[in-house]
Amino acid sequence: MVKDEQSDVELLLAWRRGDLVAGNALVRRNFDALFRFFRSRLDEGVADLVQQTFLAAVESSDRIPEEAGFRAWLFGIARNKLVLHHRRLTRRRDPIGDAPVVDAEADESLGRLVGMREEQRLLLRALRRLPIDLQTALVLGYWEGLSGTEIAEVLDVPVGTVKTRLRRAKGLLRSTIEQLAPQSDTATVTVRDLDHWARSLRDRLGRDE
Amino acid sequence: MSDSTSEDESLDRMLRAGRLDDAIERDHALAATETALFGKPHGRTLEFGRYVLLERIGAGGQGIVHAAYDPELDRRVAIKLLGTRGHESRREDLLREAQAAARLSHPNVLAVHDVGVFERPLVNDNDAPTRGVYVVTELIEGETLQVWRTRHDRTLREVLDVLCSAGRGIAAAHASGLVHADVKPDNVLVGRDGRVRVLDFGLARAIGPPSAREPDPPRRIVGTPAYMAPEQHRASEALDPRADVFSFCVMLFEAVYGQRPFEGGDLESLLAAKYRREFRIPKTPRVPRWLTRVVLSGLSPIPEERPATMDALLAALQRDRPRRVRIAAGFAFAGLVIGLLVYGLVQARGARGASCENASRELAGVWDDNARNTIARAFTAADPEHAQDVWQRVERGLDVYASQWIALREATCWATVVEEREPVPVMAARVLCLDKRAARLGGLVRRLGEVDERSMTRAVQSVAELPPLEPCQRVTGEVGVVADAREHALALEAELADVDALRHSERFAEAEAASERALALAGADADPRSVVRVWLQRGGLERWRGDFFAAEAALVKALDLAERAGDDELAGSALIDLGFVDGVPLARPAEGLRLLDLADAKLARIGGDERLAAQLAYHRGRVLERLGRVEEAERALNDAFARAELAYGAFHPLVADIENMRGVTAERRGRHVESLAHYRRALQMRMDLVGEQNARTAIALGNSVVARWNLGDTRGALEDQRRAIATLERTLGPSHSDTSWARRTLAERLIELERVEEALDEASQALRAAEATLGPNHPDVAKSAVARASALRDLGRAEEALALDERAIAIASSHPESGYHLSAMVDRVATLRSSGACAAVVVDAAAVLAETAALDPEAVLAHLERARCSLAAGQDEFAALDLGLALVVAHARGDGVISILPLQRELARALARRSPAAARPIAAAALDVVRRTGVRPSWRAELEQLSRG
Repeated sequence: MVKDEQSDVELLLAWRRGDLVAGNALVRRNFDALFRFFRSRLDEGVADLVQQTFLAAVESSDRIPEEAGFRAWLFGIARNKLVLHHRRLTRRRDPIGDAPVVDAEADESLGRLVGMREEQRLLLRALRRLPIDLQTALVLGYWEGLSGTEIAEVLDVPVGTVKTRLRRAKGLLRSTIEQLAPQSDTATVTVRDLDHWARSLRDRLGRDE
Repeated sequence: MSDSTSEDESLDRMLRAGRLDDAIERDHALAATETALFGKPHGRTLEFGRYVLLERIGAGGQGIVHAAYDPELDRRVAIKLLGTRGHESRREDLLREAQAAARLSHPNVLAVHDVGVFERPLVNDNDAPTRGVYVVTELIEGETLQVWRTRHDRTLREVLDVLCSAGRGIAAAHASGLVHADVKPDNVLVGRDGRVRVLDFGLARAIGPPSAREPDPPRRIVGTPAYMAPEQHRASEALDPRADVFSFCVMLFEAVYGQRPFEGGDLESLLAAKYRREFRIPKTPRVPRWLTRVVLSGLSPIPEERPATMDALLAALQRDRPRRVRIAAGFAFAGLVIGLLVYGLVQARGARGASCENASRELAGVWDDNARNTIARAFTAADPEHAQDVWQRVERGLDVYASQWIALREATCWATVVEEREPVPVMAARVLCLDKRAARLGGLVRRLGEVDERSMTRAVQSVAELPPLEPCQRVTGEVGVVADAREHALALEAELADVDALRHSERFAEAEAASERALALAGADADPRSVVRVWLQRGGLERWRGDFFAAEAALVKALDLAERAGDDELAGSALIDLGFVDGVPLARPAEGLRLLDLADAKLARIGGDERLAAQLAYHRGRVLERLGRVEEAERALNDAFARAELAYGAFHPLVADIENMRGVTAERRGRHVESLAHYRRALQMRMDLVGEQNARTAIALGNSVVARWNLGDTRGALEDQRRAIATLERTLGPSHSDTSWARRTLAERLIELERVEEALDEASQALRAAEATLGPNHPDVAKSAVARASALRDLGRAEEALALDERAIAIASSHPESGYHLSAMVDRVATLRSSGACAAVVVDAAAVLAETAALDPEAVLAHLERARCSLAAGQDEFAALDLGLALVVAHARGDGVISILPLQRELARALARRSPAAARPIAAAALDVVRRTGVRPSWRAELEQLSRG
């Protein structure tokens, strides 16, 4: 019986000992965050990467992290999977390594993103144009509520670096959004400056809530 | 500061709000993960209502598609799950659409069995409820149109059959009030049984505006970019069936040609291509022209111009058109070959066709041996030296026209008398049309028999501009032509021919008299369009003569009457000419462009007249160039070129005109080598078409001189330019605006050669001519004034120069669209500098620089003049700074060596005192240009010294 008070670390240890119920509970607890993390970057193969991440967590003979560091540890594995995945993809497609990986398919077909709110779609397209670590920092910080220390852990960099990366990521994201906005919807062509655009967005979001 | 904080906040907010929570996808991924890690999904089996979910067969559109089993009816079905993420109104919209699709029953539409809403359909119950709409449809084994088309070579017939079946499905949807909104090859299924079904009405939206209850629903763009109608790019617009007509035609185009009609790297350029009708029509496969015409009619950016319904489009596609004789117009020799083939065919078919073989006799007395001899003699008498050359071209042109005429006349007869395909009245109307053309031919031949030296050079062009024959094959009306109406029509045609011939001979007074006679005849005509044609022709006459105001008046009259007669083709022609006259010679380009837009609408209404479309694109290019919208002008000209080559063949006056303008735009964009290539092609073509002694040839020659000069090739340039001027004077007269232009450019060259007295003389003549023809307030007058000012300045007459500069600035400022006022201003800066007024130079140069865009030539000149002042004041560093900037701009622009020369020279001087070693290579480069080209001989000694250090 899995009890709610069992910690992630305890569940992981139980799973390593062969307790599938504990494993399933651990998967259930962390699935959404990992799904969002990969989905923010990819349209296909998300489930596969989530599985790989859990498999790596349960099969690795690594040190088990402290309970407080569990999420950062798990995302660290996820990040490595994502980087590996992209490296495979880019090697197949074109050899320029440092360029941000853009999922060309996502731009090709609006259909796949139809149904998202306009702003969300735009955000997603912009995020995908960022380098992986910058995007990771933003997604973990904003969507999963990870602290600077935790993000530093995931990215394996000093805490100070995370702050600059977040700042750089936001700057880059802003300019990417500005650049994409007119393409994503010709009706927003006139709304070139982000400030105005952001304000109207805020109004709209406000009404939604 | 506060701004950036608020931006930060909004970005933060957006990031948080943008968290991905696609519950359906998540559930599926979770199920897949649990299956992989723990053997089976935790908890339940995947059931969905009464259906048992089987394998996932697709993800796309807005959701996920599963194959499923329906135990009640014991059949396999497909279930599409569409997530709505808690947007109530969205879900209702979707449900309504899905229900509408379910009511639709048509063999060419995928059947919808069941629709409904769902909440929490699958595993995982510890999250917020997931809601959406599901659609259960029949499950078809087959392939999408995309796959079907590419898997085998398909014949045109097969492709059309499949497409038309799909079209019927879409039409059925329209009939029940549904717009598909995402018609594309992936949404057309060709079943194993061969039946074609349109699927995925999941994106279709009910016809009409979005529900009124919700004033500002979340905006949605629906569709797939490559196939979307332009109006679909604007999410806010309600769609009607014509959006599907557009998408269908994109799909049809792709199926027929093997590639999509529009190209665009991103949405914006794709949309632009759609709006500009930038069709990519490959040379192969060869597609029947009627089919291309139908397909392109559905690809108009303006919904009103498309076939109004799918049914109308399908009717046009299925009309089993007879294989008509189609003959390439103009001078394409292919036309002759086809004509002869038809002729042979006619002869091969027995006795019944014999009555159709008299056509060649109809041209007796029009174009026969007698006429040949008369013209040949007249030519020899007029100009023995060039007669042979011109005569050969004229004879060939007339022969081609005549043989096409005979072929068409016989084919027309054949269709009625032998094949009984066309009713007699149609034949009569077509024969009358052809007889009118014969009258034109006769009128021209008669006038060619009385040419003089000057008009002989125009003869080739006159032949090239004979009205095309092919449109006669499209005539269907004008029933009940009575005998004397026919005589009347032919008499009018003869007068019109005379006007053209006299115009080409520049016997303008006689031409006008003939035009008046034509007007009287046309006025008595029952057909109001006759008068329109006379006024249209009058417009051309005045334009040729150089009286643009009179041309405008005549064209306005033509337009007005054409509108009253309700004839879009004539109105379109009038608008094209009017747009050009207004936009270019009369220097009202914005107005001109508006008129051309109207012409565009007219042409779209009559549909598919490639000749007019080519002319329109060409004139649009010219007007856009005048507006300074050079990039757009280039695109229009490229479009014009492609169309003109198709419609007229590669060897035609219009194609030469377009090449000439492409040279102009390439030059303005700094691509001098390419520009020269265009000019040379235009020059060669015009030499072949109309001979050397022709104004248009002279213009192409003058243009190529300028291009060569910019590239540093000055050999023979002055001689060529003088030759061009002599030709222009002889053909157009000394005060024509084109003659003025040629003199002005000669003056500019002479100034660079420091032959200033000669330059002053040419510039003064250019100015006088421009004022005389164009009035005192025309941008061309400003340009000539500036040329004269430059000469005066170099002669030390700065005060007179300054007055001219001021005048040029005043004129140019009243024509802001000409973009010339900066050039005039920068010339004043140069004049001020030459008189030593450096304080004013600094102020004015800064003013110019503030206004220039990064790559304007005026920026280079402003820097140059300011640097010269700095040099005079001994401020070498400032000078070097300005010159460095000027050089960067000049190189970025792709300026030629002669434009760069003054920058190099001044920079060498600026550097000489402080670092002679740095100055040396720069001076050497400049010296090389001076030696090679002969410009600025007075700089030579100093440059030699500087290059030695």
